[in-house]
Order: sequence, then structure tokens, then C-alpha cells
Amino acid sequence: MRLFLLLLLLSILLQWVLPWWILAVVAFVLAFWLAHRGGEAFWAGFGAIALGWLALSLFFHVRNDGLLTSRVATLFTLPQPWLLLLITALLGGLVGGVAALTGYFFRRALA
Amino acid sequence: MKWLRAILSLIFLLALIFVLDRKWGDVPPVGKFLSPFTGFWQNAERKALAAEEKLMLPGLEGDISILFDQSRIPHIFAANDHDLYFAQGYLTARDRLWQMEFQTRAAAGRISEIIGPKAINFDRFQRRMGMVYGAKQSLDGMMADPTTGAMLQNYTAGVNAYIAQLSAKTYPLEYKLLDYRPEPWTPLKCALLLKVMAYDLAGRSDDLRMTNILKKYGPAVVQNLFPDYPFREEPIVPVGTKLDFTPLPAPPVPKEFTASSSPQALEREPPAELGSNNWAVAGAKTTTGYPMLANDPHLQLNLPSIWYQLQLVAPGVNVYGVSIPGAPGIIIGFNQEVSWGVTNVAADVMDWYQVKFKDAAKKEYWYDNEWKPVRQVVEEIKIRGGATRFDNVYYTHHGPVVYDRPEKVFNQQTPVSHAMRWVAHDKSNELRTFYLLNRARNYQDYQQALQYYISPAQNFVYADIHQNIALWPNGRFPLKWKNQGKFILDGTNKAHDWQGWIPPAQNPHVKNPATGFVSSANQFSAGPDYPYYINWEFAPADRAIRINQRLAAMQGITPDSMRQLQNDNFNINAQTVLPTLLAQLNKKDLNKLQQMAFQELLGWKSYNQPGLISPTVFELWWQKLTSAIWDDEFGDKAGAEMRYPNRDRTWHLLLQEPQAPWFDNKNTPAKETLPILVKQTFRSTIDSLQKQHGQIGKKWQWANHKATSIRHLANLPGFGHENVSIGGGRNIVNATSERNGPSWRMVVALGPQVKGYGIYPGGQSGNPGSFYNYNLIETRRQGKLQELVYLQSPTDGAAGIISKLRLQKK
Repeated sequence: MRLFLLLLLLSILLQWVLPWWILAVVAFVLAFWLAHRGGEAFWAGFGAIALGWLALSLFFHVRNDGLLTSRVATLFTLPQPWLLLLITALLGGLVGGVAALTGYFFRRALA
Repeated sequence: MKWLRAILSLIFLLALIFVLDRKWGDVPPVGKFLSPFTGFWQNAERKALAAEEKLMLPGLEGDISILFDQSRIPHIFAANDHDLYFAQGYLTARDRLWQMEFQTRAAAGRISEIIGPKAINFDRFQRRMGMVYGAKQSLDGMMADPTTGAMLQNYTAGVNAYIAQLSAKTYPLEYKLLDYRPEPWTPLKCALLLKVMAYDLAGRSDDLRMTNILKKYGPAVVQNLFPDYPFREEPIVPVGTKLDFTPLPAPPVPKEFTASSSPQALEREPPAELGSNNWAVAGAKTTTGYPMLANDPHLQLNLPSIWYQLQLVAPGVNVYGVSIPGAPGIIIGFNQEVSWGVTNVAADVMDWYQVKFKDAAKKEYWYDNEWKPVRQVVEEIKIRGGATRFDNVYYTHHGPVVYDRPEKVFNQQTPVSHAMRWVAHDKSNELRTFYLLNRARNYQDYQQALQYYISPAQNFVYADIHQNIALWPNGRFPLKWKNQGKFILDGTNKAHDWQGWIPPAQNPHVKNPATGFVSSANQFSAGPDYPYYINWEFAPADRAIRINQRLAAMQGITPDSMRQLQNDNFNINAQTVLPTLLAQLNKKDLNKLQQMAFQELLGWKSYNQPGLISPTVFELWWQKLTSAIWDDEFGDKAGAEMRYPNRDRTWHLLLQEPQAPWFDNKNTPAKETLPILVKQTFRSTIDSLQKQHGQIGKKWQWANHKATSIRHLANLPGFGHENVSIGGGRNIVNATSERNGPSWRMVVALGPQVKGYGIYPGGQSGNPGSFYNYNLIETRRQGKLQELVYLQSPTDGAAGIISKLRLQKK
């Protein structure tokens, strides 16, 4: 839980000012430091990043009445605009999860 | 083992990030693009604007107040011209940066830099047309004049002040999608945008096609089918208007020259239907007792909107209207005392010269009995994800040789090269015209402003508070012998060069005619009594005929009756030919569906209303009939690249020459006549429509069939509006076709308190994630206009101002 919360907070802060892939660095370092199991690392990384991405994209989606969501969804030939929110969250989550897992693996390799 | 697992996992992670951070073909960098911290989500704007905003910008001289009305149109109040154009540049960039930049890159032939090798041919064509060459010439002209030079520099500084504020996160959406970044703005880019207009409006040429027709059919047929003046025309300057000048003699006609057949016509041409309407009515015909003016330029229906609305106020100027995003000043608009608008003049200002090179090295060409050096320009085309390509473009004194290696050669014996002479390549300063028009107070000011205008030639309509109305087809027109440039010219003969210009004061013009109105719809600038040759063909007269018919009948005109005329759907073509066509059909020979369509047409009043079926049947029928008459002789399969005779000539053929040999399809053994073609094409029209839409019903309705679309400039699916239900059509006053139509409609009622009305099919914002990107489309679809907010001072709180922005010196 500590890993999840810290990752959520720190990744949001850093992504605010740095390129998007900084989330992988944050997930890697925090999982290296705090994770105890592979599954824990992956799901904390996945969950924290996916939640951050979902929350922020949902914020933009709502304040914009979904206008841009449906335009970009059509551009990507998605049948439903909300799928774009889902894909956004899953994609961020995937990178976060893999990065956290990698961090945990390195910790184990060094241990 | 643990290390292997860790390293494999790391490799996978890095690969994942690498893949998601890069553009693959047309797929944007997915990670970067979807991240809500940096990607497209950031461009999803909220609808409400901040009530007040303050910004400190370097480069300002004083404070600038900007008020935004309910359509988010900016009203700029500045203390001097410097700050005024700085603010115009800043605000236009804030709303339209991607559009401005993309259009200038396209004009300069630099699209391959963004989207890769698939744009090479496009870029190469732009380079060969000499777009940058022309823009540089114009820039010289504009910079040489201190007033317009400063205008350009301040506008540029404003655009760059906005670009400097951007980061990867705040880039306009399209940069994120195409994965590139804006580059600094320059005055040359402003000039390029003016060249884009010149290309769209004066970039067509039939010289090569006409030469092929001449070679194939001889001068008698050309004279017969491609005459120099229409049978039915209502020129802009009415026939009988007294000349107020003594004309110069036309240059002598040199001895006959027949060029070789041309292997190809232009690879790319703007659509023929780009045109416009404008008119002004005298105070005697209006309810207010003051003149009124209307204008609607017809261009491609795009998002972001082609135009950018704004009000510019500084000492000595208070003007409202539309600007070209990327160029300072107002192009079409009004101030307290005058209003003006433009439509295109189809003057022949692009000619082709057959060039005789000494040898394959193309270092010299034959001209005036000697070998003259060719200027060679190496064009460097940078390509994203590929090696840079170089292209040689050869310039004679005429201009660039657009084609020197024909890809499709029809006649192997005569590989020909043509140099292009185009007025848009000349040094010019159109900006000065608009600078002066924005500040004009009377007819003299307007007339003076027009003198500086060169290209693309426009019909400048004018009305003022002093009870004047006027119209000048205006631009720089070469002084030509009759029909000079109707065919390819001889590049070796000095006498074939342009010999000078029609003096600006002798351009066609009409002021305060007895009829009480002036109008233009791209038709002939003047009648056969005008002493100079401008072109042998202009746009079909349909819109002009209808507008004049209505204006002559209208009395007690209000802004709303002007608006109704802009929305007029009367089909002059149908009125002219339909009775003759229907008379050839016999109900007994028709099947049930054909009979239903026939019945519809019999009762049709010739209006292209959105909900009617008749316009659908008629327009397709007309297309098929025209092609049945002309395609065997002049179509794609007839040999060389040619064109059909025009609509006016076809009218005459149908109505006056039923025995003409042209009705026979020479590809069939049978002898076709007009009645046979009419029947055949009517049946085939109904068959096609049935195939496309099923049984007669809602799907056959005109608006549904025409399916007008307003598309994103980069044609992005989902970013445009499809099937916008609007009537009208090609050559209808309401000229809304499938992809082109009124890109701005304006009505101005002059008077002690000038009132303007206007609309464009889009919105202020270029951001696809903004409500203000498309908010005006529905109003436009309904044919309505918005009352334009014309403010007198920054404290003028009368009209719903939703936001204020203060720019301050940093």
C-alpha cells in the first residue's frame, strides 16, 4: 500500500514537469526500494499509474464534455469514446507495472 | 538466473517505452500522445473562459486591452500600430498556430519534413511552381515600404511571443499527433500565406489543354466551341458604362505560332468552383437610406476556419472583419465610414511559354535570336525518415520551368518544356492595399488603396456612408493582344512576352450606376466594349444573372433581405435547360421509378432546396448529359489532355443547335442525336441514383445526396463535420457544394452607426478540442448571420463581453 500511494503521488508530481516516461523511472526506483513480491510490485505499479492516468484524463474528459474524446476515438476507429479512457489507463498501467516489476527484479538480483 | 530475469525485464521495458515514444507511420507516439500529463488530453479545453486575464509580454510598447465577445472573437484596443499588429499576431497564433504553420509549410513544399516520403511529389510541385520565389518577391515589396514592413515585423514578433510560451505539453494537438514542433515565425511566412491565396484563386490555367485542342481540331472548331465571349453574360461593369480614360493601344499581334502538343496539363489545380459573390446597394434602395454591402467568398470548407475574425482599434483605425490567419490586417470588413469585400477575378495572369533548350544540360535557352543563360535553382527537399532529395528547377526570364521531365509522354518526338509566367511571382505589396482600406474614409481612399494591389486580382466591392457604391475588378493585368495566352506561347519570341500593364486607373470600374446596385460573381469583368483583353473565359454567369435579377427587383432592402439573397438556391441552369430536356422525354418509355422522377421534375420550381429530390436528379443528369455530349471528343480517352467546352456553349448547343454533330458519340456506330442522349442519360441517372440510394425517398433528397462536409485541414477522420444539411450547390448563389462554399458571409449596413452581420462555418479556435472550434457551424447551416460586435472603446460594455485580456509590457 505504501508503494502504491508513494508511487501515485510521486509519479504525478514528476510527470507534471518531465516527459511521460519518467513514470517508469519512478516506478522502477520505488519498487526497487519498497516491493517485497513480484506480484505486489507489478500491481502497485500498474494500479498507481493507471489510476493517475485515468483520473487526469477523466478530469479533462469531463471539463470538455467529452468533445475531444469522441473526436480522437473516431480518429483511432474506436467504437466507443469511453474506450479511449480505458486504453489510456491500461497503457499507463502497463508501463508502470513493467517498470515496477523490473525494479523489483533488480533488487532481487542484487540481494 | 535472477540477473537474466532482471535484464530481460529491463529490455522489455525499454523496448516498450521506445515503441510508445515514437511515431510509426501514421500512428502517433502512443505513450506521449495518450499521457494525460503531456498528450492530447491537455488540449481538451473547458468551455468557459477566464473572466479576466493578464499577461506580461516582452516586445510591447504599451498596454493592450482585448475584449472577447460571446463567439470568443477578439476586439483589440492598442495605443499604436506597433502593439496592434503585435497583438493580432499573438492572438491569431494562440488560436491558429498549427493551421498557419502547416499552410506555410505546404506552400513552401516542406510537408515531407513532417509526414515523410509520401509528400515528395506534392513538395516538388510546390517548389516547381516557384511558391517561395514568389513569396520572396512579395516580401521584398512589403519590406521596402516602412509601414507594411513594420506591420509584418510586429505581427511576426507577436506570433513568436506566443510560440516562446509553448512547451511540449501545450503544443496544439496536431503537433502532438504528427509529432513535430513549431518553428519560429518569419515575415516570409506571411508572404507565403498570401501566395497560398494567389494559388487558390489564380492558379488555374487551361493554356496547355487549349493548345492540345487547337492541334487536334483546328482554329475553326476552337472559335466555335471556345468563343471569346459568352452568349449569355452580365458583366460586372455593365455594357455601356462610359470610359473615363483614353486607352493605351494593345500590343501588335505577332505572326501565328502553334505550340507542340503538351504531354500533360498541370499536375495539381485548385478546384474550378472556388469563387465568390459580392454586391452593394445604394441608399435609395434600402430602408435605412444608406448603402448596404454583402460578400461571401467561396473556398474549401475547412476546420480550422479559413478566416479569422477580429476587430482592430488603434489611433487612426477602428476596423472589423476577417483576416487570413498568418497575415496582418483585415482582408474583408468595415469601419465607421466604409465597407469593402472581394470576389475573384479570373484574369489570365498565368501563361506558359514553350522553351527551346540548347541541349539536355539545360544551361541555355533560345530567346530573341540568341542563347540566353538558364538560372538553375537546386531545391533541397528534406524528408522525415529518409535521405534529403534534391531537385533542379530551371528558370528562364519568364519564370520556372514547371515540367521538364514529363512522366507520361504522348508524343515521343516532342518532349517539350514550358516556362511559367505568373503575376504572383512579381514584386508586390498587397498588404499596403489592406492597410489603407482598413483606414479608408471615402471613395478616394478606397481608390488609392486599390492602386497597390497586384495579385490575386479581386473584384473589390465598396460602399460608404457618403452614399457611394462602387466595384473595381482590380489587380495587375498584363497588357495583352487579344487572346494572348489562350494557348501556349512562343518562349523564343520577344513579341510573345507580356508587354506592360493596363494602367491601374484604367482597370474596369463602375461607380454609382443608375440601377442602384453593383455586383460581382466571378463573371466577365466588363463587356466587349472594354478596350483591353483580360481573359477569354470567366466563371459561368449563373450566379451573376440571379443576383442581378433579384437586386433589380428588390426595394426597401434590409440586412435580412441581403442575407436571404446570400442563401438563394435558385438554379439558373435548370431554369435554362430543363424545359428543353423534359420535352424530349415521353412518359410511356419510362419505367415506374423513372416516371416518378420525371413527375418530380415537372413540378420543380428550380430551387436547390435541401429537402427536394429534383435537384439531385437534375444535377446528376446534367453531369451525365454534358459528359455524353463532350466526352468522346474532349474527354480523358480522346488522346491528349483536353477539356470540355464551357456551360454557356453547351447551353447554346442544346437550345439553338439541335442538329450539331457533337451530339453523336463517335465511339459507337449508331448516330446519336440530342433526344437520344437526353433519354439515355436520364435513364442512367435514375439507375445510378437507385443503386446509390434505393427507391425514391429521403435518401434522394438534395442535401443528403450532396452531403456537404467541413473537414479538418489534414483530413483527420472524426475532426470534421460530415453530411451538413445545406441546400444550394455549384453555380448557385448559395454556392455550397460537397466540399466548397461560402467560407465567410458578411452583410454591412452603413449609416451613422454602422451595423455588421457575419458568420463562418467553423469558429475562432483552431483547437479540435475546443467548443469554439465549430460553434458557428449550426448557425451557418441554418443560413443565419450573427450580429457583429463593433465596439467604440474598451469600456464599451454594451455587448456581451465574456472575457478580458490585458497584455502588458514585460
